[in-house]
Amino acid sequence: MYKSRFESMGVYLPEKIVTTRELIDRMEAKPHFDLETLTGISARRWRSDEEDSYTLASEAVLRALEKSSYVAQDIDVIISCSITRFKGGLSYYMEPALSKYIKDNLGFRESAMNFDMTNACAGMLTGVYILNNMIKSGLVKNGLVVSGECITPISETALKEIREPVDAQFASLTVGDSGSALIMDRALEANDGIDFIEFMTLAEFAELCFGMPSTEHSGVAMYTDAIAIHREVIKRLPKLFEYLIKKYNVNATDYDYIIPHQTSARAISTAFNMCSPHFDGIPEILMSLDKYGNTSSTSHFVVLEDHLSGKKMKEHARVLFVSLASGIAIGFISAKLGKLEVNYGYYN
Amino acid sequence: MGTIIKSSSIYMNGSTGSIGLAVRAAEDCIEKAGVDRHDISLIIYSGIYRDDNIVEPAIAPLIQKRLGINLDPVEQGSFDRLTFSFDVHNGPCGFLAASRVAQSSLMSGACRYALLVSADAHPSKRHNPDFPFSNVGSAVMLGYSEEPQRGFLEFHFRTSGNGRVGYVAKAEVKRFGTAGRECIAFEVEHDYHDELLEFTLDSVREFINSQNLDPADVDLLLTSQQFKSFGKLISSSIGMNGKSKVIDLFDEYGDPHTSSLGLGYNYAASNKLLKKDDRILFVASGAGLSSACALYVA
Repeated sequence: MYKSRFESMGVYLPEKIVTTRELIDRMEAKPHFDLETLTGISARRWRSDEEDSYTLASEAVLRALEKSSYVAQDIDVIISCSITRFKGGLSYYMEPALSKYIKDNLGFRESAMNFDMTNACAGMLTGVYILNNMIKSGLVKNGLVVSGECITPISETALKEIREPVDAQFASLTVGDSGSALIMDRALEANDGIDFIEFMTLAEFAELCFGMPSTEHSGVAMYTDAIAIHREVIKRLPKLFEYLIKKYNVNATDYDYIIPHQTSARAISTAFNMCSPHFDGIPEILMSLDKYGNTSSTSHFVVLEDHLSGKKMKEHARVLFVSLASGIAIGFISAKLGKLEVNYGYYN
Repeated sequence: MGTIIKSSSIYMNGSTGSIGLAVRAAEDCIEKAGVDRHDISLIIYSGIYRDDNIVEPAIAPLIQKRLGINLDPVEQGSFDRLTFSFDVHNGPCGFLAASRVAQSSLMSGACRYALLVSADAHPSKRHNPDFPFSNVGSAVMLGYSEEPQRGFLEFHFRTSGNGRVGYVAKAEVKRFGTAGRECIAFEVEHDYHDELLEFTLDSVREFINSQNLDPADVDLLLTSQQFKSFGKLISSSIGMNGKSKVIDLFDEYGDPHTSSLGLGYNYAASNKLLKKDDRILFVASGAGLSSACALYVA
């Protein structure tokens, strides 16, 4: 059995910045609460008219390849993990797979395996789960996990449709566009790479958040029962941390950082404060919500890139990635960053 | 360690949406496998055309919920058995992509049984004369065998690099207006079927050559079913001999799209066309152009 690691990462964020204040100004029915204070989101990036899921993904792949020791032709498997699969404007592609277009246009081998995979905001971390198993079992030597997430169309719908002070579309105002790509391969050292991945779907709550076309306006919408998610799912997290301690013999002292899915700053701190006694503390929590909002399936890597490139992280860091996504997909990925730190000039 | 098919099932009923089709097939498949449903650690859904054009959550958790599999381990007070669910999308090749993903999970110890589920139906959940696929739900239960040379042995995936994609299916969010949950647009290139056949044959030949496989040693050929005689044309073109069987069900079932291979396998298993040690060649292809082949020992 092999061990896998993160070999290279690329993140692309569109240039256009849209502030929370601008969004609120555009709403006919203003919320009764201060969205910016509640979520910690001051701004998010927004696609240009020429950008879509496919172009965001492609930009991220090019950036990952630039820092990688591999060229496109070396890659064995390409997994595209975005919720949105827009190409050529707001055309949502069912077939062919977006990964096929990425593969063609960026020079990957025709014989490389490719498929699209969706698991809501757990998309990229689920891609890491899949690729980790493929590398561990020796079926492939390396692979690419990518997501171009053109998610702000749900914000446009929400701006038109929110009427109530408590509305199922409020969460749609927290999202931002981005692309992330990750190349993984075999770890060279025992103390490098992915220690473990634990994923489960609490399907009891599978119907608390839906993304689908709107029936009121042309466009896509997301309907979230945020109160139920908070009430039912967040309260289960402490027990999940107890489970990690028991199964993997780890606790907070084993980690330098936690990277949670980026929903809202207040929700994240409430959740992890609840977990702290059950994990012997909580390591430093990394967030980039203020600048980028919730970038859905790419969120963990947008945060990681922001902190790595800003030289804000310790060397030889061990990170616990925590997924919480519609499904409800709960996941934990424990990893040393190793080569990613080299790529960002932390050491040679 | 081999990855083997423990059971399979299909369900057809034109009035049911894709989730309903998939759940009915999955229920029957679990019963046939004789496994405790809570021992299923992975559910992978590979259907393309889904109810209401839902994009979130993945369809697999919605199926997991209806099947009642390890829904809330915290409430149950036990983490001994957990289930992880997600979707894989790659047209008719999705079944083999999902099989490969499940195989890697089984091999790396992350999984005990994997349930692969698929269905396609018009997003409106009603009959639509322009929808080109048969409404079929399929399910296949994968498990492992101690015998390494049994089950799925090798896979082969390929896409064409010539810029032709055959056909495109999309939800045109702006153009569909407020009917977005009920529409899909198809654009089919004029010579799609000819090109698909040629591309698929190239892929199959590449695969059997890479495996040093004599086509005459293939006992059973299962293929996707884009048009009448697609399977038979592949069989005759690659030189399978008279004792080999090809399951070509287009006349009876039309094109079940992502359920084609599940349907073909289930047909062979139900009609006692499979015996121990038979070598099965799975071949799927579709938009992209994309192809997937796998060799399986029963």
